[in-house]
Amino acid sequence: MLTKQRINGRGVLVLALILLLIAASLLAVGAGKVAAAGELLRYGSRGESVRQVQSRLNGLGYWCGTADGIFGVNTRSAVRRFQSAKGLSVDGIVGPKTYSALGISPSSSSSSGGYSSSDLYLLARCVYGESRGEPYVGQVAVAAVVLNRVKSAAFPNSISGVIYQPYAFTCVSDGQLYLEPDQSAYNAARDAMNGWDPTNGCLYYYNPATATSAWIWSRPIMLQIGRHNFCK
Amino acid sequence: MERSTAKFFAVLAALLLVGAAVMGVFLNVSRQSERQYRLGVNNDYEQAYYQLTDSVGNMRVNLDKARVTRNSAMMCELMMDASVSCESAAQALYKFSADGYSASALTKFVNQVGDYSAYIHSKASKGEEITQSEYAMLQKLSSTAATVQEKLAPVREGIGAGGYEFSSRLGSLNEEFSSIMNALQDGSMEYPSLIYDGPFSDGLDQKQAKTLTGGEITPEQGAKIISEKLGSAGISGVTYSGEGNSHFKTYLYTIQDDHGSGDVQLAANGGAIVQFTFNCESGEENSFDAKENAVEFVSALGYENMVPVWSAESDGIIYMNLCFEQDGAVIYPDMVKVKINAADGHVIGCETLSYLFNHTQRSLDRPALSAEDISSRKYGELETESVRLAVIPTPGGGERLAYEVYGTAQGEKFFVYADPDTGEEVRVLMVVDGEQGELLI
Repeated sequence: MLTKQRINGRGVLVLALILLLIAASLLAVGAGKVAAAGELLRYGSRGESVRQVQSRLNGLGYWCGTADGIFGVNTRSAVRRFQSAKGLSVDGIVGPKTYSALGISPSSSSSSGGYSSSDLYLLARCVYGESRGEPYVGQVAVAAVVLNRVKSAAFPNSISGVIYQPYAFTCVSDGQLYLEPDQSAYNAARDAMNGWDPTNGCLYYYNPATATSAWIWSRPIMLQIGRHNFCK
Repeated sequence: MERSTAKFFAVLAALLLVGAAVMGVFLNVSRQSERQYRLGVNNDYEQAYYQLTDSVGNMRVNLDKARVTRNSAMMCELMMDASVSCESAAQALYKFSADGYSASALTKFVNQVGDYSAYIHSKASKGEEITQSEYAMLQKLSSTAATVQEKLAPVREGIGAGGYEFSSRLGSLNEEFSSIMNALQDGSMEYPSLIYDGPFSDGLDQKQAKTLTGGEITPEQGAKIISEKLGSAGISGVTYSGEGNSHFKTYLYTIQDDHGSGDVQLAANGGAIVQFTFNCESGEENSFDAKENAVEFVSALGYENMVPVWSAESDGIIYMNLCFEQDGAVIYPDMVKVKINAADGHVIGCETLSYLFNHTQRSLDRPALSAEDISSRKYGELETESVRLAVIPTPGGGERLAYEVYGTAQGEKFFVYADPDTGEEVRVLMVVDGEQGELLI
C-alpha cells in the first residue's frame, strides 16, 4: 500500500513536471501597456502622455514624483488632488476634461524642429536602450547620430525609419527598445532634437570592446565619448 | 513487488510516450511556424526586390523622357513621377539592411536622384530655364540607374525558377544576393557630385566654418578659456578629455558645477565654445527673466546683437534660440541656442555651430517693397500680425533675404516668407504648439 502510494506519488510528480514543462514552454510573458497620446490615462498606464501629465502636475505644484511616464500611486493621488481643486469629478483618471484643465491638448504633438512628441518618446527609448550608463553627453551623441542619419541621403528619412532599419541598432534587435526610458534619456533626446550634436555630424558609433563588424573598424574615428567611438 | 515494479515502468513508459507525443506536436507546430516566418521574410524580400527594380526602371524612364521635352509643365510631371519612383525605391532598399550590411551607397543614389528631381521640378514650376548642364546631369543619372537595373536583373531569373531564398538565416542575406548588392556599393555606379539647392546636396558636406580664426590653441589654453567664459555660470573643475575631428578640430572637456558634471566642446582654432551641456537637475525656485539671462550669457561669450526668436519649455528646461540682428533683419543662419534651468534660471547648455559656420557681416540689398507693402498684401486666409526682414537658410546650405510675415489663420500660427522684391511666398512654416513653445517677436 505504501509502495503503491509512493508510485502514485512519483507518477503524479512526473506528470506534474511534464505539465509544468509544457506550461512553461507555452507561457507568453505579457508586456506593460503603453498609452498613446489622447488615450484615457489611468493607474497602470505608461508612456509619453503620462510623462507630459506628470510634468504638468509637478509644474502646477501637485507633486507626483519624478516624471517617469509610469502612472502609479503618486500620480493617481496627484491627479485626484488636482481634480478636486478644479471641481472636476475625482476619479484619478485623466480624460478630456482633466486634459483640458491641465492645459494639455490630448492629441498634442510638440514642435522641436518638425519632430512630434511620439518621435521624442521613440528617440528617448532608443537612447535608453543603446546608451544608458554612458555619460550624459554620450546619450545626446547617440540621439544626434539618429538625427544625422535622418538628414543623410544614405539612410531612411524619418526617425522611425532610421531606428527600425533592420540591424541598424542593437537595442531594436534584442528588444531593449521596449524598456521605459529615464529622465536623462528624455533630456538627451530633447537636446538632440533642439540641435545639440556633440558628434558634429557623425553617422555611426560602436563600442570597440564589443563591436563585431569588421567594416566598422575601417571608418575613421571622429571622436570618442564614454565607451563609444563615433565615425562618419 | 514485481507486479508493482512492472506497473511503475508501465506508468512511466505511458507518461514518457505522452510526453514525447506532446513534445512532437509542439516541435511540429514550432517548426511549421518557423517555416511560415521564413516564408514571410522571404516574401517580404521578394516584394522589396520587385518594388526596387520596378521603381529604378520607372525612375530611369522618367529621367530619359526629360531629354525630349522643353515644356515646363511636362517637365514638372516627369520630375514628380521620377521623385515618387525614387521614394518607392528607397522604401524597398531600407528592407535590405542586414547584420553589418546596409545598401547605403544605393540608398544615397536613389535619395539624391529623388531630391534632384524635386529641385528640377521646383525650377520648372517657377518657369525657370533648365540649363544644359542640368539636362546632362539627368542623363548621367539615368545611365547610372540603367547600370543598377542591369546588375539586379539576374536575381529575377532566380525568383522565376522558384525556390530563391533571399535569406536563410536571421540577419543575413543570401551570399549571391549580397555580392550583387555589394557590387553596387563599390563605385560601379559612380556619378558626379550633385551640387544643387536641396537638402541632400553634396555641397553641404563641403561647407567651411566662416568664423574660426585666431590660430590653433593648446588644450591647456582651452581649459583656461572655459574657466574664464563659463566661470560666471558657476562652472568649476575643467578636465580635458580628448579631441574631436568632425567638421573641424575640437577639444573636449568635462566640467563640474553645483548640480553635477557636464561636457564642453571647444574649436581648436581660436577657442570658440562650440557647445556645452549639463543634464538638467532640479534647482531652487528663483524668479528670473529667461530672455535676459540668455542674452546676457551669449553676450558674455562674445555674441553681440543677438535677439531671442523662439523658446520652448518642458520638463524643467527652457530652450531659447537667439539670432544675430543686422540692419533690422533677423539673420536665422547665425543662430545660438541656450538651455536654461527653468527653476533657478541659470544657463545649463549652449550650442553655436550654426553661428560658427555662417556668421559674417552681410551686405543686405535694399528690398523693392517696404514692410507696409507686405502688410497690406493678402496671403490666403492669413491675418497678418507682424512683418520684419529676415535672412533665411535655403535647403542646399545657402541663404536668402525675405520678409517674415507672422499671423494666424483659424487659430493656427503661421510664418510666411515672402520675396522682398515681388512679395511672392517663398516658404510657409506652421507653428505646431504642444510643448509650451513660445514665439518671441
